[in-house]
Amino acid sequence: MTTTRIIDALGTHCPVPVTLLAAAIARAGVPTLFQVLADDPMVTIDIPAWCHSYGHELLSCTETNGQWTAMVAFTPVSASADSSA
Amino acid sequence: MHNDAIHDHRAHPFLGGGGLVSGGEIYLDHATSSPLAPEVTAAITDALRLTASPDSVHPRGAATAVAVSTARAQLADLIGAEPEEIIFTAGATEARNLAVKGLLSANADIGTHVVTSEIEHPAVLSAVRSHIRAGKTASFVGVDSHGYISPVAFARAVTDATSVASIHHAQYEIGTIQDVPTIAEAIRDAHAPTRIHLDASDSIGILHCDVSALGVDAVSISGTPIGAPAWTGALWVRPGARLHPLIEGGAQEFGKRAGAVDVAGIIGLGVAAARRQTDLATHARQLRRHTEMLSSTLMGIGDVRRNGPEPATRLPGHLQISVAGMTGESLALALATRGVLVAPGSTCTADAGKASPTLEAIGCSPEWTHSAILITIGATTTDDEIARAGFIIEAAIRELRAMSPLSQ
Repeated sequence: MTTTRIIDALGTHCPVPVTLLAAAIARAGVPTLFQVLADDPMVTIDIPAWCHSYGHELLSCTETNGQWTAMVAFTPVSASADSSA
Repeated sequence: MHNDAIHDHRAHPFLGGGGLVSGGEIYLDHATSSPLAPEVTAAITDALRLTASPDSVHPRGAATAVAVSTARAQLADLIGAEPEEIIFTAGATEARNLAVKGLLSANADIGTHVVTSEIEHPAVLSAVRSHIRAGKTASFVGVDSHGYISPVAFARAVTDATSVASIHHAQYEIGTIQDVPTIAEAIRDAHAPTRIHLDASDSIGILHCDVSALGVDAVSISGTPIGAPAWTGALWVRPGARLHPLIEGGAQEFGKRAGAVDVAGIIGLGVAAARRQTDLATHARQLRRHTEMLSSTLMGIGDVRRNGPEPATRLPGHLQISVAGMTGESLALALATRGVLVAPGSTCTADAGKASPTLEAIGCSPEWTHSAILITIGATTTDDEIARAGFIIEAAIRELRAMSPLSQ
């Protein structure tokens, strides 16, 4: 089962939103859907680039009233290996 | 902390030969700062040897990071939260400011109106006044004669533009314990998106505080009532409540409080929280018993008013009285010379010589608003100290009245 975690990066600036996401993924251990809240427009560049570099799936990145919500799926290596077996 | 002898000019049963107070000083100012348990002091002392930053990538930094994480988990356990929901701050005043200003700023799309009570801590009231100074709106809800907030009256002040509501758990001057779940429910019924900040800085570690049961979005925490240093504190924030930082420039504390963290203070706070997790009920029971003992003595003096609810229903360990015929400052100073250390009136407004807004809000006349002392009892307070304090306070009041033109 995938758990959902909110990362409130509101009020922070590049590179903090990505730093917070990376730290949370490092602690995750289990399949997790991360919802990153941010109001620095740089997240529209930083998060896709970081997900691409580290092999995480960016599901969406939407903007409402100047706040962005990025949905990132994290799957541990062992879990992805199990599912492909 | 304890002097062996304090000079006094009268002999009474608690004075030794030559007019000296026997038994040492009696410290009854625990709401301001309280002695630390030996294991808390030891943890802080040991932590001073952790020389590396928890943000450093090398093994020494990792050791510090583990210690800080442990403390975060210990504090989270005390309030039924997840560790990642805790933001450590430098005391409760910062936590309150971060809560009110941070929630208002990040939730401006909900609205820009804030509702609070007239008897919040100055840190909350000042944050709200700054909001007003910036051209936004706020409502201040009154309280009854014991300081209780009416859920109905509070909800009536909430509008569709209210983004933040700020209330307290236990009132810092008069010890009133609010019905937080009922007030929170009334706020939700009036406007569901409103973020609710609870100032639990005086109650946490004394009253049971489970964040999910309270139904709020953010909780300000002070280390003092938990048994940690007064300079420690934290803010719990519900995931998704949305918060802007006050201090920017780093990813520390999940980006909500940039800057080097107070490793030693945080570890001390964690140890104190773990300790209080196991003894909270016993601790609260002892504080309540001591409050009842002292209140019973002081209310027998005459022309003494207890501000706030009865000891059985107020914050344990917390007693504020007003004494006709003198100022709170003169009584506090007179008691200090007799070895009983209390705070005059409100600890936060006495220095300014102003009447306490809290006492004005509950309907006290100037005679009572300027004659208050705040007595706060702690884990180290003994039965003997309570008995001696009652006697000494009574004697001091009678002496001051005998010489005061105000009481002629």
